[in-house]
Amino acid sequence: MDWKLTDDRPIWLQLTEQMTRRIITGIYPPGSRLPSVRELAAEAGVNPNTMQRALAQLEQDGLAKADRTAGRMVTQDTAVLDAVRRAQARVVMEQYIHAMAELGYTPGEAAALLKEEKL
Amino acid sequence: MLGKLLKYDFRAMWKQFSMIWLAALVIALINRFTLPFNQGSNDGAGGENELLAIITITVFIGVMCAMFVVAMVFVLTRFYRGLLGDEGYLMHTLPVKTWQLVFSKLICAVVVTVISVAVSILAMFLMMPINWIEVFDMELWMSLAQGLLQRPDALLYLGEFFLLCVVALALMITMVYLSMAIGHLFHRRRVLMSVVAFFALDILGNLVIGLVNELGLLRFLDQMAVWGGHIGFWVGITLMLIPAVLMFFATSYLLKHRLNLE
Amino acid sequence: MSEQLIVCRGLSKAYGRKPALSGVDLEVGRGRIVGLLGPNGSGKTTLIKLLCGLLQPTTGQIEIGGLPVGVETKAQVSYLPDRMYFANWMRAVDLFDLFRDFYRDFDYEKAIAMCRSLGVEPQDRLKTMSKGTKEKVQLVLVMARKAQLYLLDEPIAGVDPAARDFILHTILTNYNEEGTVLISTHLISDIEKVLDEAIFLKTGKVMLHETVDHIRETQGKSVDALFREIFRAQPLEGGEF
Repeated sequence: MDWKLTDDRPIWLQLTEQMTRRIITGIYPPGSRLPSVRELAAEAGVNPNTMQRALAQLEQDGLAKADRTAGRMVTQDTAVLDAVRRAQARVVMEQYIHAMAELGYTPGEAAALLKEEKL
Repeated sequence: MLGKLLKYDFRAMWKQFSMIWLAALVIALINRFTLPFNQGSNDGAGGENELLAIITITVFIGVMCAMFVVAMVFVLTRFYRGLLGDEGYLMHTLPVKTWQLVFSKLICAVVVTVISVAVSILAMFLMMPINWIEVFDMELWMSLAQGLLQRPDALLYLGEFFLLCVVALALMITMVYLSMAIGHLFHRRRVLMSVVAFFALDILGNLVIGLVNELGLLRFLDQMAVWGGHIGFWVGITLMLIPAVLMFFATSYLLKHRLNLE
Repeated sequence: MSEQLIVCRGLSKAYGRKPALSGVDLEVGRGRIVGLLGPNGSGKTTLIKLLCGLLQPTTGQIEIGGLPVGVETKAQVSYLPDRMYFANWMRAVDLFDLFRDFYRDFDYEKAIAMCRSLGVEPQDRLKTMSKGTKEKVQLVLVMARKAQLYLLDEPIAGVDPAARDFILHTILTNYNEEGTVLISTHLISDIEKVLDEAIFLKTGKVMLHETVDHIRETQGKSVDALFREIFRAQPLEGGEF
């Protein structure tokens, strides 16, 4: 999974989103140790301070914990992970509903269609 | 830090001169055997030898000229390119004092000239048809030692003369340095302005000497004959050392406070 | 240690009668990567050379870590010039020796390791190296120091985009995190994401000094886009140069 950074928004925000995605998709599994700020910054080609800010946001969101000895760990709290996953799913569904609305389907029709197509 | 600077300046010097010095000595040695020192032995094959001798002596003179031209260019460029050109980007960002940079270049320039002169003197000796067995004759050295015992300050004279030459050389070089530092003050035509500055300094120097003479400050020199030769040497050394030191510090000051590498 | 790493007050520099910097007031803190951004002739190189003592200000003051530019500041500043500055007969290791002799913060082993990772043979003579390889050697010299201030003058100007990433990666993975990196460039989109702060220079004056995040948050556009906007607005203003 590559880092994609766009021009219109603060970089740290985009980094937070992409780290979040990596955690809920299991690239960094629950309880695993995250790479160091420096490693992550070099990988993404960004300033370590920016990456630090992104990781601090992850901590605030409860997705990661700073551990004095082992650096940063991904949370093992499945409730938190599920909530974040659910929030992301909601965004995807909203996008779907919105796109379907443009095609002339009501939300109910869109949901029914999804079931019917067995995607 | 000065020692470290010297290390790198001497390394650059060795890089440039080791081959020339060696070549001068080797070619002098070749001339020793090709030059027709032993006249008298005209046995018909002279024509060939003559041609060879002309070639070797020409090569020798060529190498000697080259050596001094290279030495002169070296003295100029080590300062100009090394402190006021691209290499100055490195030298002036090193954590060393400006006077140390200038002093290192000065020492190196003096040493290069002294060694080059020494090499040419040595080369002359190598070229002469000296019978080396005679040189190592004990008697010669004994008489030399005896002579020294009679005039023990002869060596001192030699040392003083050498020092006088070195100070004169340093004076010349600091004047060249100061000219380049002054030329650097201008934003355009820095090389031309350096040359102008050199002649201006020369005229200024002559004016000062004339003025000092006029005021009769040098009258005490007349009495020197009475004091003896040693004092004469030391007065000469001091008189040249004063302007050399002044110009050295002027150069350092200009490089420190007026440096503009563009 | 003073709070700000770089402090410039009323800093001006003219070449003859031609002004290059006029009345620059600037404060830059520690531990960040700062972009010195502006078109050619805006005074970027002049400011950097003033900071490392290769130029003397016409008026105004500079302090680095609370000290005027001098031997002590030079020991803490690692400078990458916009040109080659070494004699061709040397080998890369000779330069490393030189740097080890003069800079206490130079890490010789790190320099050798960096050479290896950049594909440069440290025993090679500089004479035999291509221009790009020499630039790598110079970058190694600068980044193998644990300096308080790195001054990088156009480090990515003359190279292709792949090499740019390489160079930025080298800078990012090797700089001293307590120190500050000042990078001058006119290629903003390439380095924008490594910057904490941006300083916009225009005809010798500081137009803007702001964090990159703040620019993006308040303007809703990248620093690059903002830069193009500012410097496109009055295309004729460069005429006085």
